Amino acid sequence: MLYIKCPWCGYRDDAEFHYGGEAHIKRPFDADSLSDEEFSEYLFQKSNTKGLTLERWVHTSGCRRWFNVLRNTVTNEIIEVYPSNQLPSSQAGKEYYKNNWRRKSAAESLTTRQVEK
Amino acid sequence: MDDAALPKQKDSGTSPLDKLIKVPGGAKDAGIFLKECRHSGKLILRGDPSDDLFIKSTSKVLGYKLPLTPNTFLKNSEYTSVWLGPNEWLVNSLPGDDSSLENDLNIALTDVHHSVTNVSDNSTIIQLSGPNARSVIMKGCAVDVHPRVFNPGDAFQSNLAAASVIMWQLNLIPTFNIMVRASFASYLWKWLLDAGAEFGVQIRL
Ligand SMILES: [Zn+2]
Repeated sequence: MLYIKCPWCGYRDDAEFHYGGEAHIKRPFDADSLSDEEFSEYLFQKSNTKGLTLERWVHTSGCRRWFNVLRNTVTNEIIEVYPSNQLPSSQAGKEYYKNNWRRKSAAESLTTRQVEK
Repeated sequence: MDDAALPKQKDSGTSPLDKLIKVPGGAKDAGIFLKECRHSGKLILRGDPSDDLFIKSTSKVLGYKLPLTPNTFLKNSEYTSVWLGPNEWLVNSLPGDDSSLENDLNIALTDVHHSVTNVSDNSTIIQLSGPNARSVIMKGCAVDVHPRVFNPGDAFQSNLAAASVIMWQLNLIPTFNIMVRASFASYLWKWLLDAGAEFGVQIRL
């Protein structure tokens, strides 16, 4: 049983929430320029780490808002809860985000290129 | 749009709880009292609270500023406004008031990004009160309703006996309004009778 702190409602039973998969998967703007392999990497490959992971949750039975969570999948410890349009602010969260393979994926480098233009 | 142009809100005079035999009465020294608040108006109001015009325009209609603190509500004699999300409120009004309130809000918010949705018939409100009301809630809900953290003016959305509900505390008796979907209302009513049986239940009209 998880005890999750919704950013709006505070601590609630995990039965009130739904899991929304890995956080920070950026949709490539120009998906046509990706190869099938690169696109499938963006769409299907999930991190599924043993240890820290950044994930999305929604408070289904409560305020119905989405937010992000830094959780340890081994201990179920929730280290950080933060808004879905932001990056983690804890040291562990920042490192996990930075070192995630996705940051170097073709889909994401394309997103960054597009934003920089 | 004037009032006459709006379709009259049809009050069929039935409620999802009508199929139950609700005989008023019960133990005089009952620990809980149950009552249905029939046909009250229920609107879902959405808008940006950081937009001054949204707050001003809605307060002109409601008579007070919408609550911005999560899981609280504000009320006057006509309208109860429950915080549902950072840009979403439930406005509960007296029976028959919903169409005119919907109209008034839409007119007041003409130039403001907003939405008003009338969901009156989607749910009903069961009023639970009495000295043992908290004990009954505690049997089916994980949200803490102890007075050290939950008081009149507080509200929450959660599950009660696995039924999705919006609940708010009106007074110190304590009295709770439990808004539940029509399709879950008879189930929840029966559950409340069962959960309250050990304290004695009195049904009021
Ligand atoms: Zn919430």
